[in-house]
Amino acid sequence: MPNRPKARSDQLLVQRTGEETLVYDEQTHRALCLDARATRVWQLCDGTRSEQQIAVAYGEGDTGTAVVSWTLGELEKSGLLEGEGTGAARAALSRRAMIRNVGLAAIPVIMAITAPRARAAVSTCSTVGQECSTRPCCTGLTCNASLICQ
Amino acid sequence: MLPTLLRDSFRAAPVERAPVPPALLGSAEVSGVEALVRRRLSDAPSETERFQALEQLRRERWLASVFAALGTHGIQAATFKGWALSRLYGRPGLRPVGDVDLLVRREDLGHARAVLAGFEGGAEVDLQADLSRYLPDRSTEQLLAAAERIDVPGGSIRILGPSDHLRLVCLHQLHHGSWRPLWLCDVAVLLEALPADFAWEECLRGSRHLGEGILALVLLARRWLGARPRVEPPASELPDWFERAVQRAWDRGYRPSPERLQGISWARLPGALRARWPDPLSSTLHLDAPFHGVPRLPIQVAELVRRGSRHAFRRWRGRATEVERRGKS
Repeated sequence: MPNRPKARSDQLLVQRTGEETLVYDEQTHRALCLDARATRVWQLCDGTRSEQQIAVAYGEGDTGTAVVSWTLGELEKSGLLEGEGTGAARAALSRRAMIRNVGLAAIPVIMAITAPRARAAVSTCSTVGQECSTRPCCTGLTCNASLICQ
Repeated sequence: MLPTLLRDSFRAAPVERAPVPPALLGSAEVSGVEALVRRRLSDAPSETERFQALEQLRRERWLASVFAALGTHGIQAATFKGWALSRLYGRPGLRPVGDVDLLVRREDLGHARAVLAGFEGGAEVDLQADLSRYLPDRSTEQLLAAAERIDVPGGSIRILGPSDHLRLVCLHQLHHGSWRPLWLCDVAVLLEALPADFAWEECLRGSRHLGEGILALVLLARRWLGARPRVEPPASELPDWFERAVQRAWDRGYRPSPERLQGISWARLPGALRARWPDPLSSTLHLDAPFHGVPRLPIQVAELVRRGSRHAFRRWRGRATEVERRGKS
């Protein structure tokens, strides 16, 4: 972890939706969702503030300090900070310990976004080899007796 | 039930909570309205909405780079449906972006295909030079000339002009029997996003009957989904049969093409006819029949005959080609 953490911007697609921030990592093809608290910490990582200064800017006293420290570790693990870090000290603070110290509601959330079950059905038509039982075949293809587009 | 759940859900404003039956949620997953329906369960974005929001952003970047490349090669193009519609919903991710539809001139097809081959995901593009199936009275040249440029981070994307897009979205869904609820939501968002100078006479220009179909969908989007058109459409009435036909299409969902008949027996005839019985929406559209004042049954019978004879002609031509090929070899 660098002394002055900086949010990574290279090869990241970032979408704000309400209080959340959605991030797509074009390097790893992982999609993440940061809740409002994690978003706040990530935004404070501008490369000019130290961890302590981030904690001050985040507020909430001792709780804030613990939350910022833990969140920086999570951001780093998720590849959302620039540079290679050494988050060993932070990693030692487990989620369970965090819950005990600051309470579940205060812990920022960074979670992976998974493709919905119906992802294959988002297209209006099926291409070659895909099923045509739930949607029609794309232009120029026909649905065969086995309900496969060809 | 589904129209009630979808009502107002396409806008940014929070919607009233309501219980959603699991079976309905299951069908919503397939028909593309899952993120909209899930808004009734929670104010927070659903996992589907989050995923679709990122897909929408990725698609936007991808399209921007594709349009930049096509521009470099002097190829004029316009996209429609998919991303061009999802961007109009109240929040990113409420609509799945689906595949990419790109319209180019016929003489640019090969060149455009070669340019797209250099892009990851280029194979999933539905590249088209002729939209006459949906827009019989608009040429590709006219559509490209009326397309508008949307500036996005990293470039710009061209989409069909508002009147062509609304016409296409309406006629496309009638062509497919309006079985997908998402398509009516698309009409609703397009109506609310119309530019202040939108000219309905331009959108309705062409076949009077097609215009009746478009206005019927506009009325249904208002009645079922609460759409508020930014520019008031011409006064019209919903055909008596229309609402029931769309409801039935939604209830039934996608109907795959029936198995090919291997000879006709009296015993199998009722089932075969039932499987092939055309819906009133696509029948009316395909025959360019009036949406008002005529019972649907004769139109559906005529459509059944039209489809049957076209199918028989294709089989006959296929056999003739096969015989000719064997003769040569």
